[in-house]
Amino acid sequence: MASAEGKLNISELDFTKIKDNLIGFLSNQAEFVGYNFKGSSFDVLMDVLAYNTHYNAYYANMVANEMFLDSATLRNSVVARAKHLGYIPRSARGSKATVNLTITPTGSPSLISVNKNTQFSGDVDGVSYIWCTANSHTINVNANGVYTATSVDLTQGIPVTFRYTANTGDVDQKFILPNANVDTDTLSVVIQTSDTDTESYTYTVANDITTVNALSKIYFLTENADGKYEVEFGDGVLGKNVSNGNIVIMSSLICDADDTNGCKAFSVVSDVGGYSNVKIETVSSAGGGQEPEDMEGIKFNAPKSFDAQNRCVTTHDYVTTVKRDYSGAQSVVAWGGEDDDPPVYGKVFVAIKPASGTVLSGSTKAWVQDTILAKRNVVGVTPEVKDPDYLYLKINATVKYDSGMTTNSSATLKSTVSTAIIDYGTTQLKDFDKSFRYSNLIKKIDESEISVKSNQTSIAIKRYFYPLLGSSSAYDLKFSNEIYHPSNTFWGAVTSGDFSYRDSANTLWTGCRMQDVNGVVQVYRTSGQDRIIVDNNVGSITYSSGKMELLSFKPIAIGSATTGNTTQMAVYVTPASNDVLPLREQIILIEEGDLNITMIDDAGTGTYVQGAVGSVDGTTLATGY
Amino acid sequence: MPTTYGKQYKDFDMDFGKHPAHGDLLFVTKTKAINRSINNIIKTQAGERLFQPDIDGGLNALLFAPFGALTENRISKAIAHALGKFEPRANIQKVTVKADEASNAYLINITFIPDNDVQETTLEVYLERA
Repeated sequence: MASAEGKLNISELDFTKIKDNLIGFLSNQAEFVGYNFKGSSFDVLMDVLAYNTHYNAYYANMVANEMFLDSATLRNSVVARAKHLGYIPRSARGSKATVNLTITPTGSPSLISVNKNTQFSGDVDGVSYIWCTANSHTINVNANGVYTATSVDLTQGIPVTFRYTANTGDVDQKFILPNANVDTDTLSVVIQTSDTDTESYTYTVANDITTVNALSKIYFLTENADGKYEVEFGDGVLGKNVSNGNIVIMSSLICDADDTNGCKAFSVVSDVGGYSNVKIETVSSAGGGQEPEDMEGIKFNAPKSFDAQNRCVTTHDYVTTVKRDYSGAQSVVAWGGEDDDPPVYGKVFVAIKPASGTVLSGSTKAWVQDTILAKRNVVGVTPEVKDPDYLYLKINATVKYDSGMTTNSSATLKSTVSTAIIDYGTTQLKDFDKSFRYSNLIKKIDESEISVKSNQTSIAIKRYFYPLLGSSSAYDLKFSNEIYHPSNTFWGAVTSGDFSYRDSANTLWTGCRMQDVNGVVQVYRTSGQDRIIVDNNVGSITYSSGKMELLSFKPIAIGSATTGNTTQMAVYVTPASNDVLPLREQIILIEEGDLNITMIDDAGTGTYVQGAVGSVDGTTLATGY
Repeated sequence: MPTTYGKQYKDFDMDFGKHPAHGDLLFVTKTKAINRSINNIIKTQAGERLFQPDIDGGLNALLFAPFGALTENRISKAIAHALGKFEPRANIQKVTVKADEASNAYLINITFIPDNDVQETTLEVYLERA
């Protein structure tokens, strides 16, 4: 409000307060008397003055906001601020799939050429989408007379080409990709000399200005004020410039972003390499499709990209660079080799959780290592891409509910509790550095339905490994959390899935499992209620670090599998703490198959249920996983 | 509470005329300032004023109602209500409304006592349907 001394307060932004300030100021003037009545002419003038002031204040406020990356609210302002940091917002990305193609031609050609952008069709939720080969392939006939191309990468999107004739006399000429969902990963820029001279040159996107000279055939990619991507060429100093009459040919895929993730089956649109008899086997289903980067993403990533300065020095730089250049990464974590277990000096490890599936293919990991990281990291340091290390939680929950408070059946309630647990896993875990908090889980269970009164829940950590069947091998299993072991006489914190094993008399026993006895891992079988040792030492376990080392473990069969190392075996441990923390590349998951939920109607009876985890010895532990 | 008796209300003239002698903006004063204010209020529609959408003379909806005693009475009530709400300087005594069907108009007489005087004064307003 205006002061009594007649000073005008100018710090307000709100219309009413601005007007009150004006009236307060004028109340000390003798010139007009009547401005503070709604019908007076002066009041109308006050409205105009206050509105004008309010408008200008709002405008100034907005201008100031849009000047800074953190406070900007318009996309073109955010993009413009990010541009100052050298950051290009990620475009939409078409999802990617890998297939094997087996072609049966009419005749016996020596080879079959499959061109880039050969089209395939794939359905998602009843909608058909176009997919294109990301590269060209030459298929030779094999010894059996079969033409097979393996690991053919498909990218979702419709190929579109835009052509511009360069006019150097037009200083306002722009080379714009006019479609909204351009996948700039697939953008190819070619300059043809002229209409009559068809010699053409491929230009590449400029990522590192330090390597650019006057003859570099590079282009700069920016997002313009309309949200469209624009190609800019060099000025003759930083990059080769375009000449008058050059034909600029820009080709890219127009994709459907994340709508097409999950597509598993593909079919031929017309023909492949000139032949329509094509068998398509899906190696990896479609994933990695993404919407264009939103404003929050730009605000988050642009400063970090600027920090990295297009080189990889700190672990943060590795994360930012991989996220920027590999769109299929859902999340990334990096750590120095000195922090690994055991330490590996001179290396930086990067673990990538793919947007689709659980692990990257070997070729993708190699591409990230060699193409993205190797040329940006410090000399003498070798980057290595690893798969995420998945830890699973086995959850045993005994849930008491009051049937008088719900019309749902026990089975429905069990399903509701199960959904609550899975939702918790999906939203709170499933990523690097996401810890499992026990109290949060039991709260979710209690809140899953109004009739749930309490729950008694125990957890175990499960992880898989792939033993070589029929051979004695060593395996390291890192649970990375302290394992429950209150005394040297305690046993039973470790168990496993079933497998077949030979004892010292070479007798093959089925239904064997692992157990621990004071730091030693053993193989046992059951006879009635008794456990009979089959091998009294196949490795050791360090309870404090949660590390299990199997040294001479030789399972003969897992289920029906008797050879190879492609059959997984599950090993379970009971953690010392109910909170489970992932380490480095570890990710905690909860899967529906790992839930064991027992519903007990506790309507007014106060039913007592023994806790699922005992604390005296292993015999009362939740076993039999 | 300070008295307003004899207070010199002073407002500028909405016709924005200039004084013939010194060229300054013309003022309206005393009861005439209140009369102008009453005129402004009853001719204002809801939402017409910036950021003050509730200022409303209440006549807009009634001017297209059929001629008759009922409409006259409703106009009278609407004016008395609007002035009671937005013009504290006028102590409304009576509002008479008379239809002039031939001219598609209403003749309105508003009788009030200004708060800076003791004498009743009457303002005549002629509202025409355009």
